[in-house]
Amino acid sequence: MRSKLTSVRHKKKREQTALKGRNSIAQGIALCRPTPDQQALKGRNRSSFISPLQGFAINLIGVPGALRRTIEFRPFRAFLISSSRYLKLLLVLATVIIAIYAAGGNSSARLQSGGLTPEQQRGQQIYLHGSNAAGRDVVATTGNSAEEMPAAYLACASCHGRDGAGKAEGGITPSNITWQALTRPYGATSASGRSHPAYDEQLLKRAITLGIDAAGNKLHVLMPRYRLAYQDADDLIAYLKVLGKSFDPGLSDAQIRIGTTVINAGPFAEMSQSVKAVLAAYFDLLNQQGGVFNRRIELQSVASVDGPEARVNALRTAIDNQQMFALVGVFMAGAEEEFAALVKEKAVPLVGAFTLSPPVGLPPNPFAFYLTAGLKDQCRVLATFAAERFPSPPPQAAIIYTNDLPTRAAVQAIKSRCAQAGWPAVEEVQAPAGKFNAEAVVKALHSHATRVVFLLAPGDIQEAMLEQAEKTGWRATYFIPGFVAGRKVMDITESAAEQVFLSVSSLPSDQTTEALIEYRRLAETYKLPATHVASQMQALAAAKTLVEGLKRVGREASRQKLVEALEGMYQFKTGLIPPLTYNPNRRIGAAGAYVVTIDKQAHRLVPVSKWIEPD
Amino acid sequence: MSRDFRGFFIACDRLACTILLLLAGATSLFAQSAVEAGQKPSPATDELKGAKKKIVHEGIAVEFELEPLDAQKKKSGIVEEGDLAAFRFTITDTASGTPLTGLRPAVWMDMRRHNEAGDCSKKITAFLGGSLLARPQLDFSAYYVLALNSDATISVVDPLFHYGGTKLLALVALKSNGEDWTLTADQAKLFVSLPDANQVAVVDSLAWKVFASLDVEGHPTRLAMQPDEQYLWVAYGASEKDRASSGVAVVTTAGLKVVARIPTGRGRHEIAFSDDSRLAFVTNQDDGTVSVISIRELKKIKEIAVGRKPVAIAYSDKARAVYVVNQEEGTIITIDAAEYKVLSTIKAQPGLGQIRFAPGGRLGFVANPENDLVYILDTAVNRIIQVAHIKGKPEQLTFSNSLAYVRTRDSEFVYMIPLDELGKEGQAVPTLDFPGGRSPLGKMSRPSLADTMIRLPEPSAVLVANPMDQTIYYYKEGMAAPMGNFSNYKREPRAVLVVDRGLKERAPGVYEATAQLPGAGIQDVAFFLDSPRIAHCFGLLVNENPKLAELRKVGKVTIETLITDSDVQAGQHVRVRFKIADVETREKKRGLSDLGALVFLAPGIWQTRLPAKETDEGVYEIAFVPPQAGIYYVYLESPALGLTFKDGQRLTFRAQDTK
Repeated sequence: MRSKLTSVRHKKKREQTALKGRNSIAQGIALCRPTPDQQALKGRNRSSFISPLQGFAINLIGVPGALRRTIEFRPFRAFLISSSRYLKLLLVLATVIIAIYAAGGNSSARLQSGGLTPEQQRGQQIYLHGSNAAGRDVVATTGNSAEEMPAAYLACASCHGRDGAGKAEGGITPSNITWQALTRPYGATSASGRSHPAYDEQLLKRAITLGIDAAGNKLHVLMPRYRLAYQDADDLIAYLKVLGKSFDPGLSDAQIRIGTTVINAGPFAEMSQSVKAVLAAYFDLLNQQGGVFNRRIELQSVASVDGPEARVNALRTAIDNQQMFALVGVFMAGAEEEFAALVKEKAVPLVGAFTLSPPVGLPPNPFAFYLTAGLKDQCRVLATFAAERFPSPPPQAAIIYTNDLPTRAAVQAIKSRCAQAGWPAVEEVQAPAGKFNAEAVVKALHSHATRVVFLLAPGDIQEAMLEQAEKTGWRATYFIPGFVAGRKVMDITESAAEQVFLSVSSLPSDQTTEALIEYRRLAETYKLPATHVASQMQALAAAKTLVEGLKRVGREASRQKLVEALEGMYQFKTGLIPPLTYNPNRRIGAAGAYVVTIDKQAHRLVPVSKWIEPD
Repeated sequence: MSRDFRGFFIACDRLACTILLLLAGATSLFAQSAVEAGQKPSPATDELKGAKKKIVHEGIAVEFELEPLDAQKKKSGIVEEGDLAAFRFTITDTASGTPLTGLRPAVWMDMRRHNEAGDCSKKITAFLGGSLLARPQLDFSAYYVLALNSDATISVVDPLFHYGGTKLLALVALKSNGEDWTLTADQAKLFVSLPDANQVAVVDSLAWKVFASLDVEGHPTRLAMQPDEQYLWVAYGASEKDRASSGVAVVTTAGLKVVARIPTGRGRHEIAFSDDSRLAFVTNQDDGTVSVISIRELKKIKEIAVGRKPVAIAYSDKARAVYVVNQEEGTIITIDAAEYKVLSTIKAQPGLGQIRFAPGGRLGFVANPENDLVYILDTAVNRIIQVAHIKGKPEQLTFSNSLAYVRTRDSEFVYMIPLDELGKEGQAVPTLDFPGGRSPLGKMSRPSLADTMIRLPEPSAVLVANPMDQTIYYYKEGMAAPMGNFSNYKREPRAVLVVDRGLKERAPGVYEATAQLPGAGIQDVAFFLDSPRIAHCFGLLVNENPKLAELRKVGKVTIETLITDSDVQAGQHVRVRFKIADVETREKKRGLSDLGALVFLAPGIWQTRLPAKETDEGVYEIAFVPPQAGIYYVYLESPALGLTFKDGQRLTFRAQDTK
């Protein structure tokens, strides 16, 4: 919806500018409009790899003793994403991130019309977008000017709200225009003390088109006068009669249907099944306790075979055929853009997704909410930390990365952060998978007196680098995003370990005893798989966030209200991952990381930084 | 300085007159100003011409307009003292014409003195600083506190917490003791139920007079205003003798007519509404039912059995449901507001009382005075998620944005629960507390249905009435004890309410408030905006009202004080002399045998009445001992001269502690 408005707005940009400065009426109108979206950013490479280090960190550092046996993590459970061309990617079942790029152009996300009649649907289009179904522009005049303006600027919903209740803004309180309010037998009295009798269809048409209220008074000058065709007026009235009631799919008096994805075969199947199991368990327990605002939550699993395309198609078909109010814990890896475009197109709120690539840009996808930071943001955290650690003289630094990895953005992030810190140009070393010559690279870096190395390459390259460095006696400090850290990193010698820093997106201190007990009870009651516990916890955190959003929305739920409720979350604690904060421009709830180092003796990871969030 | 803070510094120079007025049983609040000012309207200068006045300061335009509410006066454009008028300020950006919204201008009105032409920044500074000796005649940044007293009165108090003083603005006499009250959102009308008089009184909050009395047979008790304020709902027939007819009466708030009497069931009634003003839910305590009433049709559409002794009801807009509390069974019944059916029964312990929802409507608080508990229920999951243990019979609940306040019945403590800390099921509930005086807060000669604890318009502050202490306490969040208190003029406050007098933004950039114009003469309407900084006085010519002038004419004399040094010592004899002469002829007024004086210590905490002795021709004297340091006011009265206390003449002096 927003991007629809945006595209219209861009088309008419000059007119709008002229309108703005002209008079106070225009200003008043501008007040009511949604804030202009920014132009969609260009798409970029998709990314799709996941690694298990975070689960490892959770396991090693300090799950309370009583729980340790139950929550047994299996560190270094690596998978190969054989179906994709990205080979040898490690999979940590820990992070829930989506990358979304507006596909640009006309990817209008419109509210699903649910149980509306065709007439009401057309009316809804006029109400929400100021355009009619035939594609003709609806026009309106404002104030005392006779000049016509496209109603797309002046859509009813912009001032009266999607629910018609009319929220006060800039000292103006647009009237409540729900049918119930308009047809009160005793009329209504506005804040200014003026009252009018009840409206009927004729009087309401007169008000919308001529700006005369039911008592014959002129309506407020900020209320545009719409030039509606006969059919459009009828459609709009038909919709106004049901305005305020939610017709979003998947929502009934007794239940809310929530969708998730399940992969039947392939390397992710086992992890996917355990995620589904924990979601089903959590919602079932919630339902046993009465649900949310007297609605049960019904989990709809959308099964597919592995493969990004298959997963997207399965979800698309499911959204079309089965009513789903929102999505949770979707496995997006490998098809981030497609999934994101899908939820935007279908206007389905999504909370939590399994992917590593969160290149969140502006404008954000209004419907997608991710839990933790991806590779790029973790790299920025590492670079920020490195800059503090090597204040002066600025060290010579290098980034070793494989082109197979979707790391271009991460490399750029590191370079720009190092440049900010006044470091000399960072050397980029491409390390093609399978053809990495550690000896040559170490020799070159040694000769350049390189002291800092960002390792954005898979485990075998990390291993080769560390081994070769040890052999030649060249010492550098390594910064490795937790996502890509291989198991061998933990086996390095004690002296080398001091030189390795890793980023992780959560620490055991983010976990509360209550949340862990809650998980343990779920695991016992519902016999949850003992594997992929970290992924289960991520999924659980996503489900808890979604449910919190629904609780904040209230009984009168809609997808739009859910989005607004999620956007209003500040430091929401799931007890499983760091606190989550969202706002209209922030779509990763915990968009930062900790830096940890390896304690060889205790065989664990030790945090050496506070929570760092890239700006 | 924020407007909220300024709220404390409230007009005081008229303190004395007003108290006197009340003591003298006077009715008109503003009748005396012209005499006090001793100033006749001078010829209008350019500044005073025109209905609208505009200044431009650093690209910001402020336009002031005074519009009499009376239609005829509006036409003539002439304003007189005593008129009700809207003070309207339109603030715009001159470059674009954009209205500036969301501002909080402070406005006062005060008589312009002879030496005060033009610059009034000093005046504004004095008002802002809250100087006790520079009080404006009108203060639009204030709120008033109302107390529902046990002697069938309502005291209207201008609180001055920072001085430990107050000003009793008015004492509204009711036909019988009030039971419950409610105020319209525009603060204009106050409705008070008078069970013993079978009436609902309607009080005008500008004049502080009962201007209408609505007959509601059957001892009206609970009052409830529906959200859109079209109807006021009045519960009647609560007592045993009214069993035959018991229900709710519906009154139009605009026309003040009883448009329906709807019998609902036996027993006491509590009332809740759906937030769209579509439905009213009325409990019938003895029948154990809730009547659902369609507000459109003013007809009962359903009767729902809820359990034994439903004593409280509240609507949650988050849950779109009504919650009914059954005292004897200790249950909370949820009724769906769309289909009027019972959704669930939440079990608690018997002995339940009030139910209220925190801002946002999700968390409900249910008091259980019998068991010293407050239950917190989450409407999202429809169950009690936490329980607070609060000693002293927790009884009444109110909220700020961050705290729930729990007033106890048997102790003087008010407990506070931080709302942020709630929501973790099964966790202990942290509480804070502060003492609200000496006596138990719930103890009073005749309990009222209305609240004795109320949130203030300013953020994070509440007022708590302590009936036995005859005191109202002001508490600001974060403090360990109340920051101030004031005595309720030896009356027992059974309930407390606040009337906000601030300017309201009526349209973008248009800020407005209504007041009764005080004295005739050239008035300064002092306007102050903190950011962007604008301080300006608009001149305003207020004409003398001939009728009021006629009333004042009787006994028009000048009174000249003859003490040269007005600073005197507390505890020592003081002689105050004054010369009385005719205002026109300057002739001395000799041989007044009925001249009496009323002396009191601000803010009315001590007073004495004395006869005045003539010591010289036209010179009279009173002698007394000021009991303590403070500001003393002297008022004179002489029926022979037609001089009454309310004429507003006044001598002021200050007594200091003996050095």
